Amino acid sequence: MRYLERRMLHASFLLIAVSILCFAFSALAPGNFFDEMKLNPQISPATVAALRSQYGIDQPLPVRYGRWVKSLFSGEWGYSFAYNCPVKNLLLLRARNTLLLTAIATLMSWILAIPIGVWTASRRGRWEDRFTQAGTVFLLSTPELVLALLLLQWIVRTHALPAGGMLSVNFEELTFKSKLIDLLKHLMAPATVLVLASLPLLVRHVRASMIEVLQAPFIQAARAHGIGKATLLFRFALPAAANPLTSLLGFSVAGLLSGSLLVEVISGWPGLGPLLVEASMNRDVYVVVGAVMASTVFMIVGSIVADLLLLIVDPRVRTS
Amino acid sequence: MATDLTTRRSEPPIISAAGLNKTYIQRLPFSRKAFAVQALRNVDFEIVRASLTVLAGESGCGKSSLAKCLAAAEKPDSGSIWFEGTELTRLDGCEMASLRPQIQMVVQDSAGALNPRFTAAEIIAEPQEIQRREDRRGLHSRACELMEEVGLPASAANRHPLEFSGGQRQRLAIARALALQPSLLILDESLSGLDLSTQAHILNLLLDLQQRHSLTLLLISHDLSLVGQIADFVAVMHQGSMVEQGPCREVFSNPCHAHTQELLAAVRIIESTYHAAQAGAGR
Amino acid sequence: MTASSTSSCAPALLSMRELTVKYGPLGEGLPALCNVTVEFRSGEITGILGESGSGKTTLAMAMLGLLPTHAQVTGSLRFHDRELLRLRERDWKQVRGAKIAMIFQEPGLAMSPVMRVGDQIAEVIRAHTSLSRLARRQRVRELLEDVGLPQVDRVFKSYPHQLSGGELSRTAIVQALACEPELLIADEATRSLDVTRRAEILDLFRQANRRTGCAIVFITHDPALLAGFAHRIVVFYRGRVIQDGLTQQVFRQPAHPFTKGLLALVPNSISGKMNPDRRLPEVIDPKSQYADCFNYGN
Repeated sequence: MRYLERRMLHASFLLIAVSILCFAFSALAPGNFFDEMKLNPQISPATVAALRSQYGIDQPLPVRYGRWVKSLFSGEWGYSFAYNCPVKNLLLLRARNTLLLTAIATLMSWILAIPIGVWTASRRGRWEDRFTQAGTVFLLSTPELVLALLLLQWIVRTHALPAGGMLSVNFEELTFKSKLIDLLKHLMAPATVLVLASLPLLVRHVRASMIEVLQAPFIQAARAHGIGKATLLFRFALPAAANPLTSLLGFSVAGLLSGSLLVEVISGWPGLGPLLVEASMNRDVYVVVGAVMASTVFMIVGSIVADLLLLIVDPRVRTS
Repeated sequence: MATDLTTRRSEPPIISAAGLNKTYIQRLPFSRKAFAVQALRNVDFEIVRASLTVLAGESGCGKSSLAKCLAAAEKPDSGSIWFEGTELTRLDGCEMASLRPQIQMVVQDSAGALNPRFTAAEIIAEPQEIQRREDRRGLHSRACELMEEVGLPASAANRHPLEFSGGQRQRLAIARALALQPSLLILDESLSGLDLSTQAHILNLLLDLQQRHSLTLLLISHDLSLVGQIADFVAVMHQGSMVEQGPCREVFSNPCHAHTQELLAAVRIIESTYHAAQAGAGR
Repeated sequence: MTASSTSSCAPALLSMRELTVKYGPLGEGLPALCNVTVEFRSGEITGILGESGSGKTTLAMAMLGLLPTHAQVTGSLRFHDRELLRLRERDWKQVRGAKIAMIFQEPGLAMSPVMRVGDQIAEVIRAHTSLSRLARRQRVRELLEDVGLPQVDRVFKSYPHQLSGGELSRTAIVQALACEPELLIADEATRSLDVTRRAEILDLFRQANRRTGCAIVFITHDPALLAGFAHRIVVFYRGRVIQDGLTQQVFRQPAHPFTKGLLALVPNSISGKMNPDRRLPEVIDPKSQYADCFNYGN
């Protein structure tokens, strides 16, 4: 397990570096959380100064960093000025919401991308392939923002789905089954946008990888042995094409926390995205650092997952 | 004209290796296990000047590893290699660079060894460019000269390697190897994978080149049926060790080691079956 | 047309008449195969002697219906009186592997690199029989034992890159013979092997021919391999048949300068006598005056 140990070591260095950078950049930007209060004539400057020293913002940067690291070990992960609670509670809740959305969207993307990619690769050059290619180009070039807004427009017009948020107002009163349906209804719009945004890239990669594999001599040899088309595509070609797709899967995992920020903000999904935007604008420093660190952890996990998957999927890497 | 074999043998060999050892270590990912493969075990080897030596043995016996050490593409773990009186293993980068033009190598996979984006003339000119030998115009004309010499039409100078057939690609690789006027040319299984008639053509070409430029040739092959008919010396390797060396006539009429006998038997069975079939033995 | 084949009592298994294959949208350029008329009989080992560009691979592909879609094929190709050229894809699936099977030149490349070798052979059996999974695996193990592989379990579980060249060749033979085809096409099956291994593989072919009676079409560029192995030889040159006869006949009376030149390369001086002028006999150069002439001898 020397490999994993090494990766863990690299990961810890990376995390430390990211946290220091994040802290430094936040501190370099002018202003702090309490500056907003200064504009309010009802709060005296003395109160503001007292609050500042209470929260330790007037301390030098290394001291603040040290206190933040200490709070990591004590389980608080910093303190949110705006919400007046430890960052951990906020982060866990919001991250859970985000993961719910992105996990389902990523799963759907992959489940759709693989058959579509395989099928278009086997029908290369024919109209099904060209049509799908045109579709992927269109989706790739449309910004996520535009897709989200278009979908939102349609929802508002037709009232088919809730226009935003994660749960209805009367969520607590519903039965378990209704709760599930309510959640799914709210989830459908942002998830659709996420799927539409990530599907074309996956389809193109699956298709490209499959096309390369379909030209290999062993596919022709398998045909010569009388192996049927479906078996040829899914049992022979797809596993051989999986190699470059594992790094894509790693990216998908890496982006689980960070890839949905825009969509969450537009559709009002109470995830990490809106929290991060809000905290950045409020100068709620510890929340920002906490959210960035959480994303970084996922990125690291994602890349390790990609490497491990390659080992599992490709026997040549495993046993050569 | 080629001088007599015995007089050539009495001269100092162009290259000689003593006590070569080389081990390759392969490590599996995610595990502490490592495999050590000993490619060369205490190999002593000599090549007579201006001769055609064939290095034979089955796959995995270490022939390519020996070739790479002789061509200074890899360093042996221990042992010494003497080329024209200079010890190769002790040289540093600069000194080695000045000697490299004299030992050139042609490998088996011609398609892989030639840059598919270069034209034929650029491929041949590349080594000279790297060694900064001539200017641009001189490079191109020299490239065309070399192409004519190996039997490729100069009009093909602007074609890309994949537009040539397998045999033509090997000729191109040989032309590139000749660009720096080496004294020792090593061909590592360059003929396997080619048709018989192409192999014959290229072997005849090599013989012509040898006479014209007094080249020393080292051919590595597992198949003695064609090469064995024209080689001067043969060296047989088996599982990393050099088991037999000597002039072809002596080794073929009196093979000592079991593996040499095996290699020769493989050729002779075919030879005798063929002649029996030709004589109508099946009638 | 040159020397005709001698009559044989064995029935014709696969016969082609005036088979012509052309590439290119308008069929321009030299055809890959031109008016090929050959018969393969059951139980017979036929050697196809030709170099690259002679059309031998096109021939093999045509016999399995694997020519690219832009190839234009005319003529007739009959297997047991069934016209193969107009066969639909789903009928081809029943022929390929089960009636006509092929062994490719590089066995390592002819197998999927990410699937275990045993599973790949089992897939071929699954495509043509309705045996259960256990029965299939058992059959594969038996077949691997029959070809003389010493460590059947290890080979079964291995991936192609973990096997040596000789083991891969044997596995490729097993894969082709798994469904007991009537005709086996071996396209340069020994080319990537060491000389010391070639005789063993030729033995395996002989065994298969004797035991199951399957006809073998052995494509090679080396005439020496066909000695003592093939009953008949068909010589191909630039897409045409230039000679077709019993092995001894072809060896003793080569009709075309190409064949003569090729046969002259077979070693006769490894016994210690050096070739006096130290040059190999030159086989016909395609640019020479003889290159376009196909009719020789009688």
